[in-house]
Amino acid sequence: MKEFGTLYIFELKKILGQRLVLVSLLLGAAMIFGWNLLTFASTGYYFNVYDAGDRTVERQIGNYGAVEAMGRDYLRGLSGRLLDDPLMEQLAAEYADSDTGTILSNLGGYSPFSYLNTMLGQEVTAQRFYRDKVRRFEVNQEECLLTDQEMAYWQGKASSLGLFTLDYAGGWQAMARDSGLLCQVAVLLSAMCLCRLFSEEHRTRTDQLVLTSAKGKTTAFWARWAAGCSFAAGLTLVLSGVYILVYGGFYGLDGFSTALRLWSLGTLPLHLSMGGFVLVLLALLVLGGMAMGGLVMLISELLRSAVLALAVPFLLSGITVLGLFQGQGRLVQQVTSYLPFSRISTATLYDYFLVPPFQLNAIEFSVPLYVLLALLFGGLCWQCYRKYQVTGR
Amino acid sequence: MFGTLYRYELKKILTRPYILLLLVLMVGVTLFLNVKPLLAQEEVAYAEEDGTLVFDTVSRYEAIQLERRFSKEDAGCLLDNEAALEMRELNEYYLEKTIWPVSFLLLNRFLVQDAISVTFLNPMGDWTDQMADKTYEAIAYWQEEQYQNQRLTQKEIDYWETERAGITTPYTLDYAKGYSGILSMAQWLNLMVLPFVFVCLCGSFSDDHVYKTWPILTSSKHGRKSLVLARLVAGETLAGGALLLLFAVTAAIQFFVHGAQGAGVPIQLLEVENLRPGFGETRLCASSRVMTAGQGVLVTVGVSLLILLFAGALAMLLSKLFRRAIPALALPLGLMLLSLMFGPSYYSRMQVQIWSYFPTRRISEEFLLDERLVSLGGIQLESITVSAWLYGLLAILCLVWCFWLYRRHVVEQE
Amino acid sequence: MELNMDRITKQYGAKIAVDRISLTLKPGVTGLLGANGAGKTTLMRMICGILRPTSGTISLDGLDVSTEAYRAVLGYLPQDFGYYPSFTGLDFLLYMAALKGMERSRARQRSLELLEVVGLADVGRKKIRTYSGGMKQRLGIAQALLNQPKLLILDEPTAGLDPKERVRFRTLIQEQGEGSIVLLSTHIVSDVEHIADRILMVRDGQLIYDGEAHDTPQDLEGFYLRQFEGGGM
Repeated sequence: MKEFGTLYIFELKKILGQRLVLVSLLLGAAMIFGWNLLTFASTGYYFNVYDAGDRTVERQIGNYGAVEAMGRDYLRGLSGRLLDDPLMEQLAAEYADSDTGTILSNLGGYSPFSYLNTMLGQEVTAQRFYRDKVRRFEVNQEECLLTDQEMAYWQGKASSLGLFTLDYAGGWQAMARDSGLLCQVAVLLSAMCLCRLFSEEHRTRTDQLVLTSAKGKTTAFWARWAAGCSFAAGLTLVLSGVYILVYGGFYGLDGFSTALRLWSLGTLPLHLSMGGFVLVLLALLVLGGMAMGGLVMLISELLRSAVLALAVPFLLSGITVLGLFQGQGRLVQQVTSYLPFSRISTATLYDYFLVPPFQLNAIEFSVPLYVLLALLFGGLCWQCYRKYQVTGR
Repeated sequence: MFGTLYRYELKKILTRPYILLLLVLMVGVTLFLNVKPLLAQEEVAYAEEDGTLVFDTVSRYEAIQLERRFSKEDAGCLLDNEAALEMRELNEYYLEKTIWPVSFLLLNRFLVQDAISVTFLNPMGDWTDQMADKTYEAIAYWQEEQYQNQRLTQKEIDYWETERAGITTPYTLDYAKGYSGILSMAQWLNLMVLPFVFVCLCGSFSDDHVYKTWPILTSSKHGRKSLVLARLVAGETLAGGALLLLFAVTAAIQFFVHGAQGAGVPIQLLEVENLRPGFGETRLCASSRVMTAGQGVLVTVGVSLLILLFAGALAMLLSKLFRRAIPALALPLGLMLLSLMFGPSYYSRMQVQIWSYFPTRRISEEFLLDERLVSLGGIQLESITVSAWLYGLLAILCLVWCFWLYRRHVVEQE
Repeated sequence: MELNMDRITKQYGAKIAVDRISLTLKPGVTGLLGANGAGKTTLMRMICGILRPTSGTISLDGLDVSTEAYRAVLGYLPQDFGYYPSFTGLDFLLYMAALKGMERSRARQRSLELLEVVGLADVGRKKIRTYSGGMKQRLGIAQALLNQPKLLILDEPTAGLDPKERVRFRTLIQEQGEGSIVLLSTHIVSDVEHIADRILMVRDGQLIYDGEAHDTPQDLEGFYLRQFEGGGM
């Protein structure tokens, strides 16, 4: 055990001693910050401003940050209000006068407003709103390739949701919306740092020394594996922390407890808050990052090539981004949805497939899957490692 | 001496264990992408010479052979009102004769009905006997819509109006699906070969640093100039060769299935399919270019080739700059991924235009529809010309820079 | 204590790198001589368990070469070993000590001791990338001796060492050979001439001479060169 600890520290030192690690951290942080800066600075958002004194409406154009701030201020005024009939009447009254308030072109983030948009002209009640939310789980069974069991499961979940409390949760919504970016950044940077971990031993010919030592075929391997996995988890956690800080700085961290289904993208009828959903995604990211790190290390040892070990996650990411798995049948879609690049994104909110025999939903199944994959890759890597023959080079 | 060095440098790249495997994999994927659509089932309807109406469900390959067979009737003919009327009357005749299925389009005047439908018109549109005129009007409409979509300035619109005036109407019909098939594949071939080139060439110069062969190379007679030129040329050969190989495989299959006729068909009659499920095809009727199908394919292949040559040069330059393969690989792959994930704001025409020149974006279904001009010293340049110059110059810049870095390398800097 | 090799063979396709070598080594220094490509390194790798023989067995006092217990008493210096450039010399030895299953306190003590022995005490806390070729070689020797091995395999250990260091090395090995089995391969005959109790000569994968060092008909170098001029025994 003591040897494991010592070897683990040395292996971690080998990983952290790479210049790439610092570059990855800085690059990751810069990308997260830069993305938000670009988003907030992007222009072209039209909105109306009503002057109650003159009773005039002025059409203005602003950047995303300004428009977001207006929506945030407006909703903060309603914060904590229960989404019931009095509130709906108030919102309807304010919105019915189309010259009143601020009409934002990006209302998607505020369900009551988008709801009012669609229900304009009709009687707006809380009951109708909640019924619509349940019905909005309008999954076309045939289109989404769901079984009757799955439909029943989700309809049951949807019907059991209670009243919502209105609150601004723009920060958490933005974090959920951009989680795909964080996943790409964290997983690929981690792959960049780990791709040489095993192949480098062969290239530098230190494998001869390691493999001929007493602990070289067992403890040394698992120490290295553990160092790799914990590095992947650590880098992901650090970048997640930076992510929350940056988004909190730009949007604020209000509305952690706001119901996920209040969000227009929150079609999946889960009993989760916005903040809770983001934390779930981040937890899956850590596990998925470890599993992907495991795959990278396996390829690094199996093919003894850092280049291929790095190319594979990029390839998987590219295929996911291009959507090449879509429309290839339920099985392909379901299996590939568990790639971290798909799973840690808002695509999870549209994943209604359950996994037999325990009928686990996508989030529930992802946890044991990533853990098992990390272990499986570890086992396979160990087999390759143990069987390696030092031939003439 | 150069020839020998070149052969050895090429051998160094190709004998890496995974390179040939990746090449074979890419050829396999190319074959798959070309062949898979041919296996889909589709319903066809046609009238035999004796007047028998045939309804059948056949594979796409068989459907194509039927299309080719019936295209021979109209090949070389003009798309005019007479041809359109004949096509419509033939279909109406058989529609009246049969009750089931409710509606169908015969393959018998395939070229005519395909040329009309490519403009989003219903070939059986019964509001006029001047269906061909309507088709040309529709084409003009889509071309003007394209000006609006791309937010062209008046100067640009004037430019393309002048260009458009050079398009000869009525069109001469021919079966050109082989060419549109190649155009449909172009984007994917490009996307496949780009990472392949980066993977192959990321270690081209860094390996000398890693394996410490620098001293013996740079101290040899031909080790400074001839060697680096041979290596750069070998790298570019791999980049260009891989792309041309895949295009050759694609062309072979497409011409085998569709035939190689139709090179002279104007691109306005072509459809470029999107191989991604759920994405519609892009119809080139909105293009104002005076260009034939054959020219369109040549231009696309040419610009693709320049993009890959640039990619190869960039990979080798990064390999020399970073002296390590991993950052030399990670940087371009990361940029590729970013360019696929994100795009500029639609509201900014300039951003959209600049972004369209990114290597992953340039060869898309809409490459031949890009009519945004670039003004350089008062001269208005088309996107194809700009692309050729841009990638060509960038490739040369990277090669020269790499050459210069190599020449001035000193071992003490290790 | 005995290292037994029974009809060890290594074949790569049609090429036989090591051809049915059977040996028993006892404590003492054994020199292994042979031309390039004779099969010395291949034989040594099989003894160290990092290359599986095509046929034959190797054991040390009944311990098979594939067991952890065998590797626990093994020290190996390869011909072309690598290192971790960002590690210091001391880091490297501590790392190797952990791999060899040594207690941390004992590892530290032994590492410092060996750095002294090989003349690297002053640079032990400097990064290996700053070492000269000879210094790296001495570090390699030090790591091989960390666990006071019962079986010490040294493949071209004096490459890169200056004459003074080579003399020091010979003394070290001679001391080591008093209680352990030392197998040392080299091209430099003088390295083994004075310290080896036994000489093995290998040509084309076959053992062509196995005898006491002082039993050769002429001086060892002359005898060695004669074997590889096409003559035989």
